[in-house]
Amino acid sequence: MALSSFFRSSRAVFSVAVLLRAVFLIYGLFQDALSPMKYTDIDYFVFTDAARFISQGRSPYARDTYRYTPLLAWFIYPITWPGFWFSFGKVLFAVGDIIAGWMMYHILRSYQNMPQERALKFAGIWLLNPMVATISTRGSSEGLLGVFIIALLWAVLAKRIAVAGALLGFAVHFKIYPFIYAASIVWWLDNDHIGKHKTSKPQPVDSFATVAVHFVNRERVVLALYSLLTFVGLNVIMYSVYGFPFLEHSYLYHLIRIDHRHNFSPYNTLLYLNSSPKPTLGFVASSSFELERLAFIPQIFLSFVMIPFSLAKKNLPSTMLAQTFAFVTFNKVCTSQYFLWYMMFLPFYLPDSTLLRSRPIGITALVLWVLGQFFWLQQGYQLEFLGQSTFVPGLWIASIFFFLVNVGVLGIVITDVASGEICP
Amino acid sequence: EPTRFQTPTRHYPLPPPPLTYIARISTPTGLHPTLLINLSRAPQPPNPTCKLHTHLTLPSYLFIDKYSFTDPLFLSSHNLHSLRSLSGATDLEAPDWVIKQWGSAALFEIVVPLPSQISDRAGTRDGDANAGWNISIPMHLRYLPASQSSHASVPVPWPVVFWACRSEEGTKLSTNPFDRIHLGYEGLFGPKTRFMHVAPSASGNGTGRLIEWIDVPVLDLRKTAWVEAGTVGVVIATFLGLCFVLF
Repeated sequence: MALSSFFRSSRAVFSVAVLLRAVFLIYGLFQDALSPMKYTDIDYFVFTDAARFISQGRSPYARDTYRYTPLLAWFIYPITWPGFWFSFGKVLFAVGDIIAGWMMYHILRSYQNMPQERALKFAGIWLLNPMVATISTRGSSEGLLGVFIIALLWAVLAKRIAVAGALLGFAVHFKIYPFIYAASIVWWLDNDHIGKHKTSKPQPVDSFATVAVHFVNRERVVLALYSLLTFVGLNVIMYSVYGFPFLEHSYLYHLIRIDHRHNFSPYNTLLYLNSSPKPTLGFVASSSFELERLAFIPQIFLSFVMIPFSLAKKNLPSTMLAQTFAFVTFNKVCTSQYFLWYMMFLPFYLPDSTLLRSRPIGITALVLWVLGQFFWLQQGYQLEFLGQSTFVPGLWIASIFFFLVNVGVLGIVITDVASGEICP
Repeated sequence: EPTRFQTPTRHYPLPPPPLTYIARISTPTGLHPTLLINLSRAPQPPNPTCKLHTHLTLPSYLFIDKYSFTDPLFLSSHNLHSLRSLSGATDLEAPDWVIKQWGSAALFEIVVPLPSQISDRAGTRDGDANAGWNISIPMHLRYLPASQSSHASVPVPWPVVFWACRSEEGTKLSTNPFDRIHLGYEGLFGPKTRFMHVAPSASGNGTGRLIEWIDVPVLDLRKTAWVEAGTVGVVIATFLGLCFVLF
């Protein structure tokens, strides 16, 4: 009884979301002060060190493993002030969470025509999710990106294309991967969706030239222009201030990195195998360059070309979910932080999805997804802390299994959107 | 007539009462071995200016994360005072076959128990004043090349443990024809420092050698027959499957 009335009040849901994050924040302060095992994420110490370098007029890249835009260090500049200001970054990320959740709620209400209670329940997947709250209050910046991505979605749906373009440019500068949304947004911005009236008589089959001309409508041009301007503008500013290290750490590192240390990605074992020097070749480290470059192909093809082309016009938020899901699943590196990238789209897709309408499928998917991670983590624990060589078969089989589960769920998402079940 | 001359020296053995140390690696090792140094009794400075240090030389497959040694709680839980110096290959992510340097060297200052703590322990149930003093240093292993076995056995040399003391005669040390500086960790201290060495336990860790061995898990090539074809096959099959669902 109390539960159902809880979701009728937006004030209640948002208050609990804020309270949840506040509690985690304060608990984190205690744990950090009392125990050598810190609640705070290692990344947060990287960001704050970089912010301190910035406050001294130096480059944030003086800090090892700072591989982000200098803007992030600038955003959390107040942590350099004494006392509790050190936690400013975590507060900022947690506030970002809440704003993202509010925007999700607003989009569900306005553009998916959901009644308040239902919208609050689905927004609650993000707002009341302890995993999301923990990640932000530990000081990981994934939640901050969430604000910008959801804002991007809102701006597109609200037809504020210039704002959307700027947000897209900024998001790509921040994290690179949001470039995939350019494909789905541009494809979605066809004359139907922007509300241009077609002529009443049926169109004959268009020639390629006509199609091409019709493709270039005002909205698409505005989006392209503003996103390019923002992206290039930010890069030029950052490069002029911080020089080549900015390009190296913010972009090049991410494009050429091979994270040898074990992670969920199915490519991990093969990358270790290929890059490790072989005795038969005189201990020369052989290059696994082909594999790394080839691995981009299924990933980019799926997330940037095929999914947007096939699904974007049917439902934009669910397409973005499928794109991100494909991008993360087929990526050469996969850590649990990346799950947040697609989790932020779940509130838009789940309401009409097979995963909820068919209990058995939904529960099986969830159980397998959790089991896949659990199996991998168990093998990882045996390797890292017990010193057993679980690289093969354990970690490899676990990562392949988890990959297959993710592909299965992706398949369900795609089928749902393609069949038109997900009402825009 | 024979002449005897004496010059001040930089390095001295510790005067009695005897103090020795044993170094070993914690087990199970995993990918994050901890170096454990056990001193035979609670150390007391031979004179008030002395500070206890340990100097590690780590081969390239081991490394230390200097950022973890900035937290006071972390340091005191390991009986460390601070990380004074770290140099060499300190990349936190690279595998061993990418590292071109021989390794890294680290100098730690060690926390010494206060006299009150020693007399406290004398009265406690589980220790007498000779119960020893433990220092631990967490380290990390880099990935080693794959091989035809599940583990690779790698050596880790013992660290050296010494007191670094202020010596007023330090300026006279340049007259000593046998004094050589900047050969090792002496360069990390000022010219007025002299060193009093804590001896390692005579039998090592029972092996008679001052080396510890770690079994590092590596990719076992005897089991990787399916990895290449399997991974590529799965990726291609799922990619085609998703294409089919999309169109």
